[in-house]
Amino acid sequence: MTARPDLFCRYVLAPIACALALAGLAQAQWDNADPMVDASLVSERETVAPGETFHIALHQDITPGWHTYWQNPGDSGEPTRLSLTLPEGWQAGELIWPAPATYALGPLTNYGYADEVTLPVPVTVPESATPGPVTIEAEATWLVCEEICIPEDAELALTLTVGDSVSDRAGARLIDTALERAPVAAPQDVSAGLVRAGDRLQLSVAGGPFAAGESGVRNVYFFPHEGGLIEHSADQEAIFAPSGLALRLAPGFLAGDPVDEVHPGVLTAEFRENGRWQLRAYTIAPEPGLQVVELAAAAGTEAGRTGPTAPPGISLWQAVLFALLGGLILNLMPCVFPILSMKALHLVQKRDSDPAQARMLGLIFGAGVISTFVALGAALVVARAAGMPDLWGFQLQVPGVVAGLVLLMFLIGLNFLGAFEVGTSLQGVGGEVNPNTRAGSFLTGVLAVFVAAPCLAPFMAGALAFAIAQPPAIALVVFACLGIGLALPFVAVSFSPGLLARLPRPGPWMVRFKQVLAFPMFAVAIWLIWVLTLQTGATGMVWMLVALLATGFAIWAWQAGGSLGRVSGVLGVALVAGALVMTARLEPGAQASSQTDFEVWSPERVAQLQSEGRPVFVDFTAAWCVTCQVNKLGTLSDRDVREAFDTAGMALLRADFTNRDPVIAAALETHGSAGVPMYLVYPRSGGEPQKLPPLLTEDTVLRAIRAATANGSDAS
Amino acid sequence: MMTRFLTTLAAGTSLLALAGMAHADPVVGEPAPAFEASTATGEAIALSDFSGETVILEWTNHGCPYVQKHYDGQNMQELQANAASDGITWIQIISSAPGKQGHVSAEEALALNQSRGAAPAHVVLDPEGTIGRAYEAATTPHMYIIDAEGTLRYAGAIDDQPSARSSSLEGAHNYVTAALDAMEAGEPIDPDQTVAYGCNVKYPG
Repeated sequence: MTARPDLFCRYVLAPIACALALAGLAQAQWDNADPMVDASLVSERETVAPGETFHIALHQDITPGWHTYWQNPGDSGEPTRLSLTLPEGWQAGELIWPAPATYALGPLTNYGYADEVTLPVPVTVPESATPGPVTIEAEATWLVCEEICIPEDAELALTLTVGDSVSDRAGARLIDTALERAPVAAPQDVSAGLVRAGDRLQLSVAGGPFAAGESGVRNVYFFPHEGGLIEHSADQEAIFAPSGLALRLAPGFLAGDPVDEVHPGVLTAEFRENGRWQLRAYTIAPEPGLQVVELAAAAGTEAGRTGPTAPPGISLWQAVLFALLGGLILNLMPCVFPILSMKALHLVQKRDSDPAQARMLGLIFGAGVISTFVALGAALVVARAAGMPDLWGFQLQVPGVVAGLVLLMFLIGLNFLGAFEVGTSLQGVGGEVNPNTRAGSFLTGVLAVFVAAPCLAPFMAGALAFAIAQPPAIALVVFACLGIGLALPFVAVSFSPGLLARLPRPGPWMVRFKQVLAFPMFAVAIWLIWVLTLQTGATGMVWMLVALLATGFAIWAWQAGGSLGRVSGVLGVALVAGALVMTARLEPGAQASSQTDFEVWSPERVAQLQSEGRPVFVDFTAAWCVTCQVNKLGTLSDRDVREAFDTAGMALLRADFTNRDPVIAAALETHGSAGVPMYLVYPRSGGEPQKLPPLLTEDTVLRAIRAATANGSDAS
Repeated sequence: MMTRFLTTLAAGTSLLALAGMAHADPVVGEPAPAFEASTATGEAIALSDFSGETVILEWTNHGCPYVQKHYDGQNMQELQANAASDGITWIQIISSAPGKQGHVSAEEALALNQSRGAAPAHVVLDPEGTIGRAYEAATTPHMYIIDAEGTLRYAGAIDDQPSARSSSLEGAHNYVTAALDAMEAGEPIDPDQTVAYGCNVKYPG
């Protein structure tokens, strides 16, 4: 009989004969005529002492290419079973399963063993056992599969002697090997949790050897004890954090949403011990609904590698501090500037008339900023729950939001030019505080946040990534802190008379200054229209411009007064709404990269270039990200930098995140960035990339280029 | 993509839609994956043809010992006969790829059923594994029940005895019968999903 009956059949016999032959063959083997597994019962001891606990085991010698099954067989199959008949008073414990391996068959994945496996059972001899020979009988059943599956069984027996304990060398060797491969309880300092994260299950493990990071842990795999908990065939993606790691699993029908039951299993991984990779298996019972690692802290590690400012690992208080600092730094980012100037104007206007009102306006501005951040945080939490890639700046990937911002900028510009006054129809409360200015202050705060969103200050990335992986309440606190940081300078100015006194005196220049500020607004509108064009193409741009035209018309008609003017104004507004809806309904179009010497990024391309021994620079960018454009036109266009790229033979790749892209989103998450820009420099010698800070300087980039090539020469 | 997301959000079904986009899994309580097939008798059928009727899908492979347990013990034939008398459409599906165990021609499939006294309403050959993958059929046997509205009501094992031994048929709790009884009585099906046991479906590749 051939060892590969299926092949023999496929090529030699006609299909019908083959099917019948196989069925017959399977039946024959079912009767143990020619088993695929050679089973035996082995013992650690030849002679056992009364009161002693030792192991016996079912040993399976499996035909090459075939496998038997673990306690959870995976998508198909059946676990091996062993039932023992012991002498009076003897007791057997539970079968011990060595850590299994995975076997993929088309779309299915099985958990089991190939070649050989030993399944030990602890057995306790009673104190009362009388010296002399005893026999242990066992009935074993198992399924063995290759392409086809054959259930087999065996009736086995083992004779031992009760007396002084003597080892059975061959049996002990097999059993020791099995026990070494068997999972052990995780160390005391290891904690584990299982949560739902969108359409995934997230198993997090912290502490002990799991805190060793990417350089100390690899090939992590979770084998659940139960069959329906996960999709066995789905990839298990590991995300590393300073305190541990998380595995992203595809949920099966048993996985609750939220997870509310303990689902134990075996976690296997290779750990770097004394310079060698050692496979270990731990039994874990992850706490339902608990996330035990701070995934965001991964960002802290990255920052720690690239800059001296961020320590590895971020606690809540550090995250709050970073969020505050990040918010403060946001004030200096290029995209917030026009808003700040606008706010400065308000403060100057109010300073003389009433310092109390200036304070009030400062606070209202702050409230506007903070409540918008909290609202964004809440939206992020909701989006995360809905399985959206929760990435900062993503609101600018929605054409409707971009179109709305264009309109807003255009309106503000017109307002600055004096085309219309806002809020004259709002109810006047009286007193010195003008309600429309309050509303204006609040709206300015709201606006400041929206425009600042795509600009990621270095400190903010860590805090944000931290917030993303946190329970909603903590995420909201972090967001509120970002808002406080952003609002702080202006609230301070509005409160401190000293700072206030340094502001220029009001005068007729202010009207002109206000008018001048209209042009940055129009400039921002142009930039946003450019973003919109990249997203929706020329049609979207035309609808947007129609909306602006209608806006201008509506304002003019309304100002002209009279019933005809009012009706025309309302029609104009309707046209604006229609045009905006048309814009928003357009599908985001193809991505556009403006610089030709950058290739389109893909993880595969990076791997390929690295295998060719080339250093790789990756620019994660988006049209709506101002910081990205600043870097692109500044540092990355700098002649010294370009020459250094050429000299180093640096491959330049660009990942364009203007439209949502799951692969890019995953890469950002992997490298601990909550959004773009992100710059990665992969060394020539292969290995992990260096992450550069979001605001590039010539010096940073040149140093990174040197590092990436120096590593290469060291290795060669 | 984003616009589609927003539209779905507006429709208030974003969660379900996203889940659906991420996985085309068969989900109990959701519409069963649609399929069209030609049967061993050459008839063209679609799942939608049977709307208004309860449909049972049985993944099978006559070379699989677990399938043999249910046919040799007349268990499967009884279920099929009962289903037919209750007006339930029983569709037997063979997803074994050419050259693999259980792959048969239409004539062979019909001959096999005749020799076993099996009487499914239809036999569907799915050698590409298209229907099998849509339902994520993992084992033979693997059973699915679809109600008159086209909703998947049960998916999983045929009974609670994951064994190929014929003795395991005695005293087995048949999940399919229990589910059909619950549907008849208008009661919730419990369990409505189980881990199917048996040989792996012999998909191509």
